[in-house]
Amino acid sequence: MSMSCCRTVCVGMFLSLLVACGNSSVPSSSPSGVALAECGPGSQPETGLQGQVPLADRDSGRNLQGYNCNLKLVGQYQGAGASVVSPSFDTCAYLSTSGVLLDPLQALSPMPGVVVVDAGNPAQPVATANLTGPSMLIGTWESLKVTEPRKLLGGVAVGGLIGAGFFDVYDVSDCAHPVQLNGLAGSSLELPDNVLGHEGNWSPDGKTFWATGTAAGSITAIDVSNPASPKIVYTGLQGFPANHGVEFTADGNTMYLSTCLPGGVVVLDVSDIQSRKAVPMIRQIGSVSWNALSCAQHALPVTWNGKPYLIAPDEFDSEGIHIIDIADPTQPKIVKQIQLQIQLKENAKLRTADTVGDGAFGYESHYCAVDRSADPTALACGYFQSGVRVFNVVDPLQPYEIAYYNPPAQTGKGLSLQHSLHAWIGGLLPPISDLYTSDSGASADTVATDARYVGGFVAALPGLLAAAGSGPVSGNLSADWCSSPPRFVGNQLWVTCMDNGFMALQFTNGVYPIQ
Amino acid sequence: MARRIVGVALRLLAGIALLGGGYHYGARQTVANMAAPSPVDVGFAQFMRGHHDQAVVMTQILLGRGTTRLVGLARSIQTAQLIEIGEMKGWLLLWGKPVLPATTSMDWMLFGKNAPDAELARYLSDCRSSPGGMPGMASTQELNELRQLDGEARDQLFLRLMMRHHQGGLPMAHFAARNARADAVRTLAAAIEVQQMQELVAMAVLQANQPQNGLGKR
Repeated sequence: MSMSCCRTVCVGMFLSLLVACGNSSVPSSSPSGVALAECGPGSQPETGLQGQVPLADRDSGRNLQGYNCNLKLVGQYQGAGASVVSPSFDTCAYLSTSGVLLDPLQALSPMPGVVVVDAGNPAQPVATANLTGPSMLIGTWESLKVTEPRKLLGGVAVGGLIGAGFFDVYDVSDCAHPVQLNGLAGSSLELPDNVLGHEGNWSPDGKTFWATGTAAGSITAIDVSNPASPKIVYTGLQGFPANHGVEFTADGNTMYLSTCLPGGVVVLDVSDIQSRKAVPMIRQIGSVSWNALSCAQHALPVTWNGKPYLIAPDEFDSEGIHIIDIADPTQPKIVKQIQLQIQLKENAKLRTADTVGDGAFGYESHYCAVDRSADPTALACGYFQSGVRVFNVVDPLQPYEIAYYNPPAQTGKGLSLQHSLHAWIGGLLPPISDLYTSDSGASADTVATDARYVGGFVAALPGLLAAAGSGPVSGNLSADWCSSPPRFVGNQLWVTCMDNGFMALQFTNGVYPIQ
Repeated sequence: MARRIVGVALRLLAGIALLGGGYHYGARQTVANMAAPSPVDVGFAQFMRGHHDQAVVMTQILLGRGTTRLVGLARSIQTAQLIEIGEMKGWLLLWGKPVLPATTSMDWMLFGKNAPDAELARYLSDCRSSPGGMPGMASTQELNELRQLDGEARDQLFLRLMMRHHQGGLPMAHFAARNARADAVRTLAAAIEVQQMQELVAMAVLQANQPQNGLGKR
């Protein structure tokens, strides 16, 4: 999630129409639409467009029941909610927090920082620890990630959007009881120094943690060969759009860097850093972009029939997800765009009406995961407003939806959801993600769209403020923000949403595993 | 020591005087030249952007924490080079060229108006043998040493690294000021050459004049 544009800075910090289920038709003439899930018994289908929580539902309270299709809830740990990216590893999940900079009272709460949830019994997930390293307390935004080969959890201090100063690394060999490895005595206080942290991820071998910033477009590589004493091995790319998620080839030599403004992916040769050259340089192999005004989140590398692709969700402008052919990395090619019905251009006005009181992010995709990286059969993606969606991607050019779970809105519970960025600050912001009406580029009515959103927010403001008793900085919390990466665990899907916290979901009606 | 510094300073000042012609040559031709960029234009923008990038990192390390008597110098270098990075990035975006090069080879400097002379050949040889492909770049280890030190010891290391860094980039600017196709590129290259020679003089003086009490200030 990025709120990096100047518009955000200015206004940001402080201030049923169709039946969606039951058919498998392509929802629109748009080539980016995807066939709807066929919801079996036990489902509570969406009442509007695919992905939509209609204004009528938000007003009537229907949204408090949530919506599900071929996924059912097995167990949940809500706690105080979670922040933007909360990873899952082994039998555990690590619930990040909006942080003590946004809400200093968190420091006094019983479990400040990152909350460790053990879902060894998925029906009864329990909190087993809380992590209080400086980054964990300040908030890690999108940088909290686990490296499976080395069983390490790492994150940089971000706080409110961008921050600098700390990197924490924990041993999660016993996932329920992490042990911090770089105490303040073993790690220089300024590390990662001049990093403007925002996003982050591990190299595949787990020996390097990469952090990217937003405002200054910087990138930093931290050597974690010795986790007790992390060291910077590269920092630079001032002004480069090195501002969002990073993923890698298996050898760690090639980075897929997602960019905001423009939304796209840059392919970089980072082998000098991977091999620890004395004077490392980064070289550009290729790039692709699709919307000057959008914001790619991350670009997941996969292969189909041995051919490499990227799956790149975008968190602005209702762009949805792009599938990119990178057989020739010097010239990546977009081969498919996946948009939910509500994300299509013709539904821009509906989006505005639905989400204007629910914070900075409209109906946007954020983090995706596949059931396997070679020939994936299923793609699960977390969305703001639209819950968690699962697609059959056996044929990447003809994906179709098989399941979704949009958890119950937590309206009125803002005060108890201190760790949820949505419930604290994020929900009160005016919409910023969807100002340009989708469809890969600024449209002729961009100005009108802007005005509609701003006007809508101003109109909604008295109501939001009147709800102060239910959370002074929460907005209406009329649909959750499920921004964390889902994880396939057997025939379950483990997800974390900001307001509902950790949830273990079970596929039903035989939709997964995909035969 | 002081005599040697003065000698260096005088030679650099003489260089600045000689360069004045080059600077004004570029400055006179400020009418936009929208012709397609040459390999020298693109190469200079990509590689000088990368070279500047590390200088900015060094100033960020110095200004980020601790005590230093070099605040003015570091802010000046940082401001100038960030602006220049933005200028070069802007050209590359308008030209539709990648902001980062695809290689560490400095072969774009073979595309000058004349065949490489002995001086340029020596510089290109230095580039090929230098880690990172450009002479004068600080290593990861040196940057981390800069992060770990404070006070006068850090100031001295900063001066040593930044002087070496400037010296490594000057031949690139000198070449582009005379061989780039676009007026704006020649102008900026000449400006960089002048500015960095001035900074070299300033740094030589600062290096020679260590405070007696060893204390810096913010």
